[in-house]
Amino acid sequence: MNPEGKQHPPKWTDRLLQWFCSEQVIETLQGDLHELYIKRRRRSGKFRADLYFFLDVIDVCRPFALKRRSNPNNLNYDGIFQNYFKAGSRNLIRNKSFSTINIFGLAIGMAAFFLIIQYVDFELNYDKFHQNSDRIYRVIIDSERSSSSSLIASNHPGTGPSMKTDFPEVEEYARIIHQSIFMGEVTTWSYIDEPGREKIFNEARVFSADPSFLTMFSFPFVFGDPGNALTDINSVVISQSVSEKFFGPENPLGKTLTLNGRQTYNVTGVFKDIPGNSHIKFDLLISSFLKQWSDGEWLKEKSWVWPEFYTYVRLTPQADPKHLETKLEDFVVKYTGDLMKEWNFKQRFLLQPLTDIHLGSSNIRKEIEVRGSERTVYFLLGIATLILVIAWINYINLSTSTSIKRAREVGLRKVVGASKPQLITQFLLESAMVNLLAILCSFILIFFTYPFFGQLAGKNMGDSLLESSLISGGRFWLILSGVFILGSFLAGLYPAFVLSSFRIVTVLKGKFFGSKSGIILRKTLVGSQFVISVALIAGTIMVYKQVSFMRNQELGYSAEQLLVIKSPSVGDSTIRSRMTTFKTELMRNPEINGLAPSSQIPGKLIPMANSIRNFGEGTGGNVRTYHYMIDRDFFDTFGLDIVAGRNFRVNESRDLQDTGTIFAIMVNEQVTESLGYSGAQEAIDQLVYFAVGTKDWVGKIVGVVENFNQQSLREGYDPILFFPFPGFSGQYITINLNMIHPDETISFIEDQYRQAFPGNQFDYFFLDDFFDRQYAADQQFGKLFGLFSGLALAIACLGLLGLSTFMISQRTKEIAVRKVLGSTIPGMIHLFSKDFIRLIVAANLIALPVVYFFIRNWLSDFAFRTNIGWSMFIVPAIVLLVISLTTVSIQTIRTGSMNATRFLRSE
Amino acid sequence: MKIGAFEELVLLAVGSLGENAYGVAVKELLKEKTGRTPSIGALHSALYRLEDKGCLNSSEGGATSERGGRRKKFYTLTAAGKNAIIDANRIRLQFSKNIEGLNLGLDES
Repeated sequence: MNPEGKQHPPKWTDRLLQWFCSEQVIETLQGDLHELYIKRRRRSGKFRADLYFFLDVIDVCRPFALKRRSNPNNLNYDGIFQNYFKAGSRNLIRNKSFSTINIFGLAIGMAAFFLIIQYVDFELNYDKFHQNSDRIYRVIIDSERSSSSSLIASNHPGTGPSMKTDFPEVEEYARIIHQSIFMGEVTTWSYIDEPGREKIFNEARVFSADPSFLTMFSFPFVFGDPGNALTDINSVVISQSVSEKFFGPENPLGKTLTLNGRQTYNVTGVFKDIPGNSHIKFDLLISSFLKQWSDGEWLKEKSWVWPEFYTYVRLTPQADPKHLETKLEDFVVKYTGDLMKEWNFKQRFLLQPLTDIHLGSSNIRKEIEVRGSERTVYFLLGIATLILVIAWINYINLSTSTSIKRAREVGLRKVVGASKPQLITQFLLESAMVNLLAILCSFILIFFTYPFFGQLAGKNMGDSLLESSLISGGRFWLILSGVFILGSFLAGLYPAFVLSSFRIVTVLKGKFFGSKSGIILRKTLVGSQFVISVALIAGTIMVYKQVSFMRNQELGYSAEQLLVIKSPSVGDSTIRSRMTTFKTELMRNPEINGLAPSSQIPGKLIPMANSIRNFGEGTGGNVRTYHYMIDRDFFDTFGLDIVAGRNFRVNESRDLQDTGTIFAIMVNEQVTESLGYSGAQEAIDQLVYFAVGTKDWVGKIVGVVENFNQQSLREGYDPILFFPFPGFSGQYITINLNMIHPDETISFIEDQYRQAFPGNQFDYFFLDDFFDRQYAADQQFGKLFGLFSGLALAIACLGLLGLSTFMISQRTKEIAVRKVLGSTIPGMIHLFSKDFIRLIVAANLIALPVVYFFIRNWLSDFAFRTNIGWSMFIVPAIVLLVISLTTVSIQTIRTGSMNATRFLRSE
Repeated sequence: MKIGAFEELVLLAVGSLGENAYGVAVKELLKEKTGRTPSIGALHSALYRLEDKGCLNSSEGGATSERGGRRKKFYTLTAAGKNAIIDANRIRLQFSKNIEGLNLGLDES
């Protein structure tokens, strides 16, 4: 044992101790620890002593031992903080115009940001209001047919029940199916009240659902019990607003509604109107279809060949959806293996999380509602951030450039003993003040603009921000404080450093000029504002251009003079003859050019589709076509040309009962092309197989019709197969008017309709309006984009105004001297705007290629697209030039036209 | 003066050590008297706290080679410290008297 020897604890532990221990404590503490170390080492050896020493070091890491960051002789800072506030607010009040620009610009930016955040939050939180939303999945089909695969949102009727029996992890299933599968887009509902008056309304958002649907999802009920509301056949649950329409404010339980004048339904429940952020929205839910068929033989036959049922499953909390998905592969083979072999296709079932439906995978067919676009959401979020950045840049620019005014204050503070960190604190505090004021102003702005914004976004997001899920979820406060802190620091830090680093002597001597690096930074910041502005203006132009291009493009028919009315759904066996009478009466009116019933109209995706192939080919040659059932007057009414062959004859009809017959069909050019004919003429009189349901039929192409836009111009031409269906046919009656006296003609048609089809509701619309509805999302996107680009530009302009005002006020003497020496105002404008013009040119060069890339990408989604053209490249530059030249000129003229001696007298 | 139970023990130890009350010595005495080893961090933090409260005074002593040349900090009991011990004892006694059948062994003395 050598007590004097190198009996030291490990060096690093000692260093650790020295690192955190304060000066006052270290000596005695370290002494004690070393003493203990030596004792322990003698007793238990090096390892234990080292270990205990380390543990002791950790143990003494307590408040009493830690280094104090601040000076031990603590000063009271309250007074100086009060002084900072006073100086800050006086400074804000003194520079009224700059403060206004700063605060107002920031407020607009923040308001825009919060509104967009609200929208984004709304979009991102679809369907999360359901209690078990994380355990509910929709079972979708990935079907592969002749090398092309597609996802289908709905599933076969057998899938749900079989999954529940086969897999223990499936707790419950629920299926829902839209009425249009059975009875047309719109159904007529009626109610006869106590005095015997009949109320009739047409409803489109009608579904039939399993009883479990109401318990799987958590739609809140006003009356009735979701547990058993759909258990009985002929039950209907209705939304609160439908209930008020039919029954007023009273409890409607037990009353009956009549569907299409035939079936009666008992009202068994009333639910609160479906919130805006549900991917499925309905007004009436009936039990009958599913209930009846689940019990009967009919549905069993169709169990695996009728993918029209939206099928949801709730898994147990422990279940692993990925694992279940792999098990579904065998499941599909077990139930549909034979079918897949026979029909030569492959299908897989996938589990789509409920909360992914709204923004998830973008190309699922048969989606219930228009899906949201994830790209739009993140795009708007990007714009929101840019707007905020522009507003912050304004703050940085204005406060650094006006900093010269405060140089004396800073100098004096330094003389009196202010340290640099104290000065930084002071200016950060001022930045926090400005940000706080801006947030308050932005709340006022949001309060007034919220309802308009909701309309603009086309979303029912609640009446005010306070009611939104963003606030109640607490996320809002997180974002708000994030914006506040980030804003105060990002925008405040640089000015704070600039201001606090002034040198006392130069400042107080009065020889102070702005630094060169400061000017370069300011130019870069203004330049980046210009870049953002150019990008946003150019983007807005292109979005508007594409949307108006789509709306003004020739569709192949004159949609603005086509009036569509709903075919009567209430009626008896005489309906066919009534239809003929109706038609003859209408055609007598000279204002009416044509009339044609049809099963479909342009302006939407046709739900009826199946395959077609050339005669003699195997199922590998299948091509997809959409089905139209039409009266032979259809083409005349719509003004569509038959490019080859002939129209249907008067008595030609589709009667699929008779096997062995060859049916007359017509197709559009798109079909002949995909069947491989080189021209329309070549396809005439050719035989094809076409499938209806699960059976193949033989058809002869008697005529080929020119292509027309069935859906929005985002999509290409759809391949369409026409069947003759003279007289009465299901859904729509299209009437071609010459639009000389439209109002009178419409009321004439209404009279005739009421006479011919009593008990039916007369609903009409013009086809162009109906068609334009497809662009609602694009138009909304365009409007939002335009609005926020405008705001961004406005904020950038505010900054530019402030900056040029200040710049010129700094150069008043220069202007005066120049004037005395004989320079003209245009010459001075040229001098002062030179820098801005250079910046604008540079900004255009940077921004336009980027925008061009994005726009090309965006346009590639559209089948029919406008050319990019020159306007996108020229207009932003012109807009920016005009704005900045105007601002600079006004300032220069104002200063330049004043009496020069006023500025020169003082020195 | 409110002091905690551990602080009371520390005061007692400092008091009974007299001139020689410094960190390690206090620690060892406490171990001897109570049978439990106080952690060095807890002990020092109590010593500093008691000094703040005015129960202890401290002075720095000479360096020893055992401590790598570092000085010891010696503590002495102040009047307030003594009062604190008395207060604490009185509270205990009054409390304990109310417990029936508890023999504190004080009657004999």
